[in-house]
Amino acid sequence: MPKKIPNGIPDTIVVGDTSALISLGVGLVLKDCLKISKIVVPKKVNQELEEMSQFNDEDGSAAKETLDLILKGKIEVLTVKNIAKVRALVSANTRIDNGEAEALILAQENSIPIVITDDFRSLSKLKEVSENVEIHLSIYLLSRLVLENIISIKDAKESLNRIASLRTWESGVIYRFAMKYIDDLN
Amino acid sequence: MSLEQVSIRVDSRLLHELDQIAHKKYKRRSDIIRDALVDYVEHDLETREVKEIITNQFLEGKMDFKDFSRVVGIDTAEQIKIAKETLVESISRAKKDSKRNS
Repeated sequence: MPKKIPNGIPDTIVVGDTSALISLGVGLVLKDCLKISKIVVPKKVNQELEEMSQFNDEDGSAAKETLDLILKGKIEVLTVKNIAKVRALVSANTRIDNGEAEALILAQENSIPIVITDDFRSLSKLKEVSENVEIHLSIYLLSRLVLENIISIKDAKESLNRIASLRTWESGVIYRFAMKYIDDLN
Repeated sequence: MSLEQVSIRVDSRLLHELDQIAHKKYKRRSDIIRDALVDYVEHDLETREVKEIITNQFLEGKMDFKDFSRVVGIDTAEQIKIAKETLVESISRAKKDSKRNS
């Protein structure tokens, strides 16, 4: 269970986009992440996960696992109120897709401080328009798992290796480079 | 190794040029396409390896952004640069939040 502060609200809450949830699923740490943070997703991300769950590969399995957590109520699906703002964001920024836009607007509407995404293509644009929301990589949660002794450094590095092996060469290099930082979390 | 059959749609002008090349080389159209695919895959693997080495040098601060972007292209270079910055920020935020919770 996520750690709780006295009023019963989990101490950390993040909005996850599809790429970050798939990374954490492929890295076999998504369930563990729920011990340290509440994760919410917008409807569009839920829909993207449903589409991905049809794939007969590692990404498809990760999508199925995430959908199972949604079904069990461990990951909450929330509705974005201002869909016009989502559409405007997508049409003004070709690199931001509907899932990412909904994730950002959902965070803004609900004062959720962090969106996690592993889509490097849209990272720059998302950060430009994120206003008071911080955009982080899935490694934010992975690092916290190590720092809060939920998993070992070895587990985290194996997780990064798994993620790296299934991504484009650009992402793969970044995940492997991230291992240096994981070592320093000791 | 078994041979698989694939079906693709191509522009008619490209197909015409392809047929001319095949005719000049006394080869079949399918041979030219197969050779081109082999060349593409080999080239991609080679350049990917080089790009990975160069990217690591940039990430480790051994190469400046200008030289890096000349090799991998400005779009990819910017993506990698932002990804590295975000990586550092994400770990820093994780440390801050974990400290708060301990």
